[in-house]
Amino acid sequence: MKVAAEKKDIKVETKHIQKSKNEGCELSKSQQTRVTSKKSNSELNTHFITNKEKLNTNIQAPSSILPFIERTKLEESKVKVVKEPEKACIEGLSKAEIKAQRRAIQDAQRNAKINQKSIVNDKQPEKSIKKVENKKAIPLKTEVFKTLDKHRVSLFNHLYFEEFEKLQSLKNFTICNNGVHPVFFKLGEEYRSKSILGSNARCLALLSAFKTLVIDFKTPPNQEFYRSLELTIGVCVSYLNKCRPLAVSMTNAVRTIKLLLTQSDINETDIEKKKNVLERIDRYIQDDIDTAGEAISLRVQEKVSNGDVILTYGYSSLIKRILVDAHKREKRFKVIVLDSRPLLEGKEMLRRLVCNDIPCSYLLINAASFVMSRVTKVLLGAHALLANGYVMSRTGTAQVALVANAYKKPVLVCCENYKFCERAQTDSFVYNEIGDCEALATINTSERSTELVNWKNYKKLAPLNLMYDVTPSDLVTAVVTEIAVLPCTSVPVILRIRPGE
Amino acid sequence: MQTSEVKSKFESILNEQEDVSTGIAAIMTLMEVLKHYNSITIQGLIEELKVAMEAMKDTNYSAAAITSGCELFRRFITLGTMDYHTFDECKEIMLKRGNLFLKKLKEAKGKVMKLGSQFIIDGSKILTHSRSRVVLHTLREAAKQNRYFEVFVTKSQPDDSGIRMCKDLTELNIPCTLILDSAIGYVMEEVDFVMVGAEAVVESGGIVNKIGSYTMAVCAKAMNKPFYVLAESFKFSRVFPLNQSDLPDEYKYSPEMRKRDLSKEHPLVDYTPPALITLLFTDLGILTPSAVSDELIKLYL
Amino acid sequence: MLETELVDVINLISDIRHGKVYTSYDVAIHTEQLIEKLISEGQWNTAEDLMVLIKARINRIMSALPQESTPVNIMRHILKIIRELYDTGFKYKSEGQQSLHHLITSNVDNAEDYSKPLPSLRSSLLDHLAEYKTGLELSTDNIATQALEHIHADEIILTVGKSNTVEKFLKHAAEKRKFQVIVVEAAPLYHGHEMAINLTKSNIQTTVIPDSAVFAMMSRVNKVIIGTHTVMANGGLRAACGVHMVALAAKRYSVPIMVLAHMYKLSPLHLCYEQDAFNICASPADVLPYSSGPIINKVHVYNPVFDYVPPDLVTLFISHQGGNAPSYVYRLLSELYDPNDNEI
Repeated sequence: MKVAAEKKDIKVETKHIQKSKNEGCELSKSQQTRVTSKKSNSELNTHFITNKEKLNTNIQAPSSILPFIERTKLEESKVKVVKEPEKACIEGLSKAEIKAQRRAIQDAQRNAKINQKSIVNDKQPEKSIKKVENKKAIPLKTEVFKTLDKHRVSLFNHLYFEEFEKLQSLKNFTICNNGVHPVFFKLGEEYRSKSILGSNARCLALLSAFKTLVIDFKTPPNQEFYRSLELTIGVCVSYLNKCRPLAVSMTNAVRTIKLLLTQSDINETDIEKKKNVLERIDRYIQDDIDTAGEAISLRVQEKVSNGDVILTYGYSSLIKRILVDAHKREKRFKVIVLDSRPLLEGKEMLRRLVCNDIPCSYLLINAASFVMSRVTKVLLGAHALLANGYVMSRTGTAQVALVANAYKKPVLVCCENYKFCERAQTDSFVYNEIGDCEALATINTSERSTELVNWKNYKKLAPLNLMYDVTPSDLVTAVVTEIAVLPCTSVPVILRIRPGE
Repeated sequence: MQTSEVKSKFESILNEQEDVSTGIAAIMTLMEVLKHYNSITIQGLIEELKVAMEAMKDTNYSAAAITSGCELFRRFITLGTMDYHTFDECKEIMLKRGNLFLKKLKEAKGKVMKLGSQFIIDGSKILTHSRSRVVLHTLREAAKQNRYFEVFVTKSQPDDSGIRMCKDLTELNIPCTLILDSAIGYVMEEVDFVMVGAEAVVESGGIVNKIGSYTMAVCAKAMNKPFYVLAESFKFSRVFPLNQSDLPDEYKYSPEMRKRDLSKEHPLVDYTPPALITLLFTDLGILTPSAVSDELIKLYL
Repeated sequence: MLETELVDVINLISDIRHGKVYTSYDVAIHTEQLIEKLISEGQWNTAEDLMVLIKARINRIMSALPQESTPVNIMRHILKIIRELYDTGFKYKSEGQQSLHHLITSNVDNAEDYSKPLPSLRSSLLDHLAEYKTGLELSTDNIATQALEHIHADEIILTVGKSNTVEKFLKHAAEKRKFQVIVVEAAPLYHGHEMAINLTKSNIQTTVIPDSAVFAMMSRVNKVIIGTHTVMANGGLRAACGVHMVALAAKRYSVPIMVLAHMYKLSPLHLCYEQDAFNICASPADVLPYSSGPIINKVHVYNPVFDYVPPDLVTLFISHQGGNAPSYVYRLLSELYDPNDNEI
């Protein structure tokens, strides 16, 4: 049973991480069915609970489930499907207790449904209304307003997840989850509030959190170290995913770690096993992230000549490393940093380059055409490289590549191998991440503020803050990885070479 | 006037006055023919002019330029000859207006120079093809205004006229580099824009110019560099070539070459379609290629 | 011309500089009023005197505000009207746009003599000017009425920053059609926010995106509708910074770009290809605020105001007369201005 459960669990996790946010959000919604509030008067704090003890004591407050339930019937059926493997992970439950839990939860749901009827938010009737509205005249419009989601862009409906707006704006955001090590709470909060930004940074933070987890981990009775560690990792990662969708680098790292756990020798003492895992994590960090960065840096330095004017966009730790190293090797070049709202990561890049005495210029992305004629090379970082050769990176990268192409300047994308992904995408819609709308509405570069801060007053207004975009392969001259300098179309070759998936 | 006289007059004009354009020389020759015309019918005059034109085309000078110049003069004759009773009166008026016309045409190059030199700013790198009088004068004008710029000139086979262009530019103290015809693609990424002259501007808005211009235009388009053409208005012609093979043979090959087997000969000119041209600098102003046909329609229809 | 005689122009220049007169439309109205005053109250007797006065003003504006083409365009147009009225008054066949035809057929030896006094000139000029003024005031509405010919139902339209003309255009279409609008913020002044609020007040479903997301969104956009600061003689645009990027993205996805341009935005000047020669930079504090600390000493910060968009990226120009291709702009120019006035 445990093995079966594990398999289901893994499937659940991979669905979670790799496939489109469609399923991800369904699942997260499903996990919220087990929500109740610790104190019935604290409505602001949302608590996600998986543990059966909490469920038993607090099942009497179904009304607090209300705000979180805006679902269709489909999702509720999925809830039941998922419940079984989740429950099986929890330590030492007996069948009777499981059944009791399930019954209690269904009761709660039924009560919630009754309360929910006033909220009309079904997707199917909405579609039919929309179709009718297109054919009929204007009077029907007012009905549609009620049913359309406020402040959402319909093209991205699959990317907004449950309580999206609330999650983004909550100041106190705590999740009580017994299966999750406290270091992940801190990490989750750092991800959500965007204190840690950037593919490499997030991955490194995750791996160091894993190391803490391993050190603190006590194997539960009657279970094997590696298996239970894997399950715990799964639980922690799914928690992190709720705070902020996982980066491709993080997903790949998690997958590698899980793989090495399944392949490890179980005939050792726990202490030795721990040491083993820690060592392997360290090696992963060393090889796939650190040394790879160094190798890439060396390769790019061959391409940088004296007198170059290099353009870069936003903040990439790898690009920063390359530029600093090249400067240390006495190459004389200038850097132009482009930046854009709302994250304004370029300022961070600027600061670090200036600390290293590199002559820099700073502009916003709309001035790309202004500077491009003076630029000799464009260096861009990447979040992930997709199987069809497209580059997924911070929003705006594709635009910089487009302008560079118009002026016939070479575009180099630097990306470590561990960020390569088997997904293939042709546009930025199917898989993306929607960021904080409030960040878009408030302007912090100047003392001016615009009316957009009141965007919530207007039903038909939706500020859209996309986090990523996809650059087509024909706009990129070359991709630099630690193995080689490749044309964009050779990415699948690397995926084949990489050991075991 | 006899055809041999016509030819010798034409050639002497071109030999004596270094700077005169082929088209203007043709028009000046036709003015001479008009002056020496003895009969009294306009029809006869037009016949003589046609014969003279054929004679001039039999020389080694650019047939495209001669044709466009002569067509313009013919149009001038046919448009101007109304309302006069005697032929002598007519001839008087025509000669007077002809001189006026010629004067305006000679000023054309000056206007083109002024317009073209505005686009040459400090630090520009210019690519040009073979030797064009108009381009040379424009560059000289810009240099006179104390602008600093560099020029790349193609050697331009088969007559290597690029070498002469380079020499002229060096005499004007303009930094100049001679490049091989085949190095156009290599040099294109350094260059800021391309500036060429034209032997004729055709009805589609494209140009007929020394062989190699088409290659240069295609390269410039691929590298997103502007391609500017400097041409006076008397070079506008009514031909509409659809592609390279549609160009009239007399444009492409000299009279001696036409006597030989054409499939073994190298053409002297090629056709650059309007899509590859950014702007045309003419004495009528700076035109987009689509404006050229407008001008021609106004004239001939 | 003495500075004391050019007081009206100097006041206009100072108003523009201090932002009291901001939008192109305001500038146009003020210029028109200035000229009206000059014609009705100014000291001139012949057409030539008047033209000298106007040319002096054009020179003054061009030297003070080289990027502000609207007042200069309007004055040039007035010069053409003066020439036309003079010629019809004296029954000359106007020299007009130079053409081969004129080269061949003209009898006159190019004498541009406008010094004969024509008594009816003042009144006919004022009549024409009144007509022109009505045209100016109605031009935004005229453009807006064409909206339904260009926008169909369920479209997604992209626009950049704020433009009164585009706003009216979209609002007019929204009365009869249902469509969505995506507004690009347009850093660093973020006028796009205001535009979005205005549009959403008219019940149009609006989305606001930052400049960086344009390429990502472009594949789903049906049309790009923008305004511009100036239309150059080759059909290219001098538009707000960032529009070139939008145009490149639109070209890539074959999305048509429609530019709403009033007649007074058409300039007979050609641009150099080089960005530096025609652009101005505004305060870098909008890009990197002073609160960033000592880093601002060590870094060059630029905030260019304009962008050049080449004519092959523009699909259609919509003016009060209807839609035109960019290759047709030279024709519109020949109707508006006299070529002798291009170089003053």
